[in-house]
Amino acid sequence: MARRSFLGNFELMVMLALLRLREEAAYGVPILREIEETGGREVALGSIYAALERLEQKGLVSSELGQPTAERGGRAKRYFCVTAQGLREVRETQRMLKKLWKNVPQLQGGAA
Amino acid sequence: MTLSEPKAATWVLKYFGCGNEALIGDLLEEYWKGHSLTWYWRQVLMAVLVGCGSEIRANKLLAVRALVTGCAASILGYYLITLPLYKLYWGATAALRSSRYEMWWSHYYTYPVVFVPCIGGFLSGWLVARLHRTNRVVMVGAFVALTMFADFREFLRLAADSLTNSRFLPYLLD
Repeated sequence: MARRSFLGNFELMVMLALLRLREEAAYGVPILREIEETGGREVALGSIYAALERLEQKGLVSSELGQPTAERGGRAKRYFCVTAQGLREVRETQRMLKKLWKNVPQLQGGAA
Repeated sequence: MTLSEPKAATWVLKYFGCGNEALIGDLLEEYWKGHSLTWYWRQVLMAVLVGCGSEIRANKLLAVRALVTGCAASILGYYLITLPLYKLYWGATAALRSSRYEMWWSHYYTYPVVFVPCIGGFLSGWLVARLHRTNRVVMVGAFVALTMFADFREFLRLAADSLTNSRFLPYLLD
């Protein structure tokens, strides 16, 4: 059986947040908001950037720098977008998770 | 009202973190939108920790080499620098105390001795930085963390000793 790496929990959350955002708004702060609002817990921006860097090294995400702005102390925004390979990887993870989700008696009926 | 940039925290992130300008910009944007200085520092410290962790994970062998080099240098430093300096220092202060030149301020000469072990530590850290120039901040940080972890029990013992010492108790209980 061929060995392949799956997306980690946090990496998948970052990828899904990226896919939910419009391309022109997909930089650190909106990604953080998206994850915090859906996940309901505080997340460190540093963790998001570390995950994005790992994903970029795997070729699942690409990034480009925007224009520096005054409200960021003259620092540019780094915009991220999911690559075709990244989208395939998310679909593959979704397919695998759906399979695993099926026929789990403990998760059926809604009672914990 | 315009808030100023938290320069110290930004400096820490720039030099001890990944130096990621986009991350600094994001943090400033959020800080100026109303987040507290505590939030900013928490994010900076988390970014530094996460950045160091990622760099160590990406360079595991280099990290092991840095720790081994640092520990070996510390042991060598103890025998070649710290012990001889201690002997020299105690010899000199003992001679001074027993001589006719002893003054009321003579005991102050014993104070710098607490810095003697630091010399070996600084030299070990310098050697680690010198041998791992591309990742020197992370490698020296890992070595310092290991040293502090190794000395933690001794630190706790000294703290407990100080807190239960009859000399200090009256001040602590007041």
